[in-house]
Amino acid sequence: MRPMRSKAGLLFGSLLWLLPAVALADDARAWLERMEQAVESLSYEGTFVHMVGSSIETMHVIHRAVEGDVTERLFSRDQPGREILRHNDKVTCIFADQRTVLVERRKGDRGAPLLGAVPRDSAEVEQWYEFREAGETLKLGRTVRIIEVQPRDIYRYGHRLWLDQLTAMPLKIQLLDHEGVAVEQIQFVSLVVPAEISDARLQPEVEIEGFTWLEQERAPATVGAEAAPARWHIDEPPPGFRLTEFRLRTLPGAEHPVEHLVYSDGLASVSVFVEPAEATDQELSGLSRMGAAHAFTLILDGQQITAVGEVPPNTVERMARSVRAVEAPAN
Amino acid sequence: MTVNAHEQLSALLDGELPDAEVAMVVRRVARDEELRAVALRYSLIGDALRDELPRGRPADLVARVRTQLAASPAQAAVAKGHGNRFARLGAGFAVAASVAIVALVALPGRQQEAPPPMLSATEVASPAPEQRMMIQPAYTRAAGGGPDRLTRYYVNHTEYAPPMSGRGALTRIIVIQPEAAAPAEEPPVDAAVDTAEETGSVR
Repeated sequence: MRPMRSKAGLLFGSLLWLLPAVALADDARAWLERMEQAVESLSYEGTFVHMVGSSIETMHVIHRAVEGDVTERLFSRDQPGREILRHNDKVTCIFADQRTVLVERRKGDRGAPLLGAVPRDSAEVEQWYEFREAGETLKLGRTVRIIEVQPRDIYRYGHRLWLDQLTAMPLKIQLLDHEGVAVEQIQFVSLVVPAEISDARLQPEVEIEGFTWLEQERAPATVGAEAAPARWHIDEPPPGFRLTEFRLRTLPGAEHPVEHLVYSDGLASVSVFVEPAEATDQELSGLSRMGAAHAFTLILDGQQITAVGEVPPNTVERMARSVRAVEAPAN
Repeated sequence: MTVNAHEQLSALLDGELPDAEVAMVVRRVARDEELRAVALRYSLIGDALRDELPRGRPADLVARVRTQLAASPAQAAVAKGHGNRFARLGAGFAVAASVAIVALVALPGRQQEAPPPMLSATEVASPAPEQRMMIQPAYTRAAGGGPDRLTRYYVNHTEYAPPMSGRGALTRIIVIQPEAAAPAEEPPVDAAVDTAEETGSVR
């Protein structure tokens, strides 16, 4: 019995030693879950500065949640005429300079908040990211917890979040490359949680009379299509990226359907779009960047293939380059 | 007003502006009416988040800030339009190590319609060393303009652009103005500002 006991003791000892690290990761995840809850279920209004690449823009968000009914408005303070409105799953984008209104439906009943959410299946995600609490500090004069999510390789970005101690609202968020350099930053300069937000505050200021409306068709295009198997797949995605969704859909403003495959590591997502190439598409080829997202486009067998995601350039490039046609099953 | 001014203002509000730049930004805020308006619009909210603002305290706070303002000789100078006094105010700020401008505004249960404009110096904790944000060169080219294919892809992907931020929605906003068209650099206002802008870093 003795040896058994000492073995158990050793095991227990090593467990104790491991415990703090595990607990820290759990705490960090718990904080992120609180944040997810907060950004969706609280009513708040705030101004934040968004910085990415060479552009810096001041934005304003108004979010109202009343008994599960969520209405949201996001607009640029610096350049009037750009607004995004969301009512549950319906997202309306107003492009005043293009005199266009784009209406889309998001997945799920409620849609996702315009600010932040945490992945559901976060157990697997720890294989690719390390979650940890990194102390506390002050932001906007309030105590905040710093939560870090560090990638374990070069195929994904990390995150650093400053969450309000009391509400878990993110007061500052950074997206970091593998060297820890911020590629994108969102920082609130003001945030209020008012008792009430009037309907008027949620109305767009842009006069949209006479604009072109592009509305995404709801179910019909996807119902049958979702059953159809993907004709393309990725041979060798970067480690951890799995196919999570496939759709054949006609994007608002497009003429024909596009195959849309989504690969995710649980935190970052990359969309791969495949559609017949057009004569002018050659010039789109190569790497491009929009905001914190990169895209890599190439033409293969008369198809234009584009991988897009908030990931480092090497990730979209590798994904686009390893797209292959699915071979027809042999009968 | 340059984007840099916004950014510095934001850093100042956050108590993260290096001491050396504080005086300059304060001077700039003092001189630039538009920037001052922005500072006020950036209603700093700290205590005003729900649950943390006991009833009655806002009034005290407002009164306290008013008192501070009234006691400030620099404030009197503003009233008389003696801009140079602000240099002194700026120096005071710089000495105070970390400083934040506090625009007291929105209170729970009340719309922030006409907040009383007021500035105050409040000490905050020393800024932790933070990541510098690299200003990347625009890559190959900016996608966008009309809703070409690539732009549609970017926009469409945002549904999946998950977690942790408003990237999904923000990408859309950015789509409307491709980066190529973005650089709206204004000529520097003075030498000090010029130097700061050359560093090209964000805190």
